[in-house]
Amino acid sequence: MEVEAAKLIAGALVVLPAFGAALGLGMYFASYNNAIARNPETKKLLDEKFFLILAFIEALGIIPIGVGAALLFG
Amino acid sequence: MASPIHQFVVTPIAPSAQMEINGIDISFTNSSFSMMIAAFICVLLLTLASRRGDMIPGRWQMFGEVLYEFVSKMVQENIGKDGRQYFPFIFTIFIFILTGNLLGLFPHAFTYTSHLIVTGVLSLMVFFMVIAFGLYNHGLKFFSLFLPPNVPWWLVGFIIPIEIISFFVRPITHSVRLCANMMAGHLILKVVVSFSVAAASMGVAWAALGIFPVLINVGLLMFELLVACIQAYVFAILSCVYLKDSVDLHH
Repeated sequence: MEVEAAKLIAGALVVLPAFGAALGLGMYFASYNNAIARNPETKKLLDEKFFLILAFIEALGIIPIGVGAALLFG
Repeated sequence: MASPIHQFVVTPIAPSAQMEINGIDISFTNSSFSMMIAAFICVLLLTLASRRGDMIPGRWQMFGEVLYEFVSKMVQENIGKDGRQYFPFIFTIFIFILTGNLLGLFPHAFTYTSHLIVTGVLSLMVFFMVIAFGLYNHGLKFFSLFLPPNVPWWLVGFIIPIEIISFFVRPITHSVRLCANMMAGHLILKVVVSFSVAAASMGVAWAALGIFPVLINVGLLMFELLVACIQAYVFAILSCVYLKDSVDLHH
């Protein structure tokens, strides 16, 4: 397998983790809304860490894209 | 149309800026140039904000106060009472990264936070500060950090290696998260734009189709703005969380 072909395959495979990040984000927002629907007072508590957790899940989707890009175009 | 990675190449901003000392290339590159711009903007905005400390804050002073209180509340919540001493450090890191990320959104601007070397140095700085302050505050008791309280005795053999590994993985994930987010974000923007260029090169009729990637880019840029602010916030808050270990170990 030439390096070029392997690079292109790696570039293509890199998008798969975004699938996991999308699922994670969906579940996170669903549970966030459920928690607030059940008990609106928890909104203040949840909002403290909201963006922190959002960034973690988002990072899991984007880090592989960054690595794949470095592979593909590097 | 250069490859999307072209926007991240660090090059001296002018041939005359090419400097070298016994083989080490210390030329004044676009990365350091944009860092200077970011530092200049930070200093300018914050001195404007803190110039006239009158009771009824003007617009600039409100801007400065909002930033100050945001970071101060974050440090207060995450490091607690005696975290005040770390506030200037966290504030500087937050503002420097935020300005770097936001400056990167402009066309032809260079985002220095998209390079692992820059984020790596920042996260290593935080990492060594944690160790230094931990040893300074707690002496050798600092290493009790690797053994959380009330762990059943038969688990101790497993917990300590895991804790040590997770301690040393921190600077890596800390820096790669910021760097990869910035780099991948800008990369996606450039790849989408190259679609419209390709459409334009296929003839005038097709060029009309080139407008759609640009519209997609408008949404992507808004997302990039969000990612830029969130990543700066996450970098700062994680630095707070890591510094909390050096302040009070596990209790």
